[in-house]
Amino acid sequence: MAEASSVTEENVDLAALYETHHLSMVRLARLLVDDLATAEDVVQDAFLGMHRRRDGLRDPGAAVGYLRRAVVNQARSTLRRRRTVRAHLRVAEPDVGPPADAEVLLGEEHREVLAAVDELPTRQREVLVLRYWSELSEAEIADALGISRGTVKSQASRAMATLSNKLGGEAR
Amino acid sequence: MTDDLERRLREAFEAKATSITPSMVEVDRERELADELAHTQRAPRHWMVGGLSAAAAVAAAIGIGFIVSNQQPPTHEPVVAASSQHSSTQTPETTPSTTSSSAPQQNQLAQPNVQQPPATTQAPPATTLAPPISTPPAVKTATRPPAVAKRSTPTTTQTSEPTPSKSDGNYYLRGDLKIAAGTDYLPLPGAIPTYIQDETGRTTRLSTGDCAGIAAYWTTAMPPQGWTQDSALKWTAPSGNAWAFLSKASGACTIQISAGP
Repeated sequence: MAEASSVTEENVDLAALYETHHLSMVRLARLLVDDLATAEDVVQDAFLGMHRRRDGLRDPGAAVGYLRRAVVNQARSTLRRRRTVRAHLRVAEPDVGPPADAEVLLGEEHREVLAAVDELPTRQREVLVLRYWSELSEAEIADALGISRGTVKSQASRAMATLSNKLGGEAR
Repeated sequence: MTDDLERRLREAFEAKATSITPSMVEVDRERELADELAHTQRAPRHWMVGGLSAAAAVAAAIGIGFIVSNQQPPTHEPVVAASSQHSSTQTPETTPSTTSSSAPQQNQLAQPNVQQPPATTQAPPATTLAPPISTPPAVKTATRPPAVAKRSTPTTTQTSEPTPSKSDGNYYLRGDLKIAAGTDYLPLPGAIPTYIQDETGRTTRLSTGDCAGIAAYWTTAMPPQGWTQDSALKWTAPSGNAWAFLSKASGACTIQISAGP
């Protein structure tokens, strides 16, 4: 009986996870997608996905990792779908301006860096965000993205080289 | 050069991320989802009782040689998971699974995005199936302490235990913050409310309401403790293996503490 209780207690508490990590996951998603509303969608879908699979989640210590992985994957799927839609609608749709929550308050230096990052391939951008914002190790990034550590290293290296070319000359 | 680029990336990401404040998030949707998650958190406790019956029924079915092969139970019912996981050593082939093999039928779009936890974290002994009848229902979400405060081995630990606020549930820090795997302590003024926002990897983020107050305090408190100031908002710990950043965006002030490997 006592053991059953502990098993139940060890189930991932999604409500607490949501309360604690919702905002940081929205911020992570916002670094990966175009606008805040989409970022919220991404995070909501990630939580709902975990909710549907909650019976398979038995390790509270790993829950944040699962959640982060879900957010990154969901963000990537969203961008992929959006690119497809935009490619098909390009003829009929006028150019879209910056999102409503564009970084109007950010400094010029930050905007410049973020613009350069936005031009990177999705995978490279994900690696950089997880490395320099989430501060994950190569192994953790590999786990989050479902790729090898070697790929993480090479993607990061290419990304940094590209950024260095774009921004390096302007480095202060 | 690379260090400079890394610093610029960190600062740009941090600035963009912290520009999103809680007030910008769609409140109604957030509340709905929180309620949904809180509601379903209670569900397993009810269904655990049913889980016993289901497990007994499965065992009985096996006992008389009756195999239900086409039954498709609802994938979201915890009772199924309880049966499949707890009795897996006896009847793995007859207990339906709610893991990746069946879940995609429910929602194709979301499925690729949630990974399965390692198998090593599952399968408690069959003897643990008894329902926690005396266990009270899960408490309301708002009253639960943040999960980050429950970790037994956090990235950082406090010199004194963080104190949960009765008003907002946040865990406020009292005194300096010890940065784990090292001997560094981050000076924090007791007079300025500061609480743990989240922890990811080797990074801990704290929220505080007074950026200028923290910055001023650090100017006087950091140097005597061996911290060196890299920029107006960045400090390096005495060990050289941890850093503290201060960032402010849209009225929210965040302290990011990054520890090296």
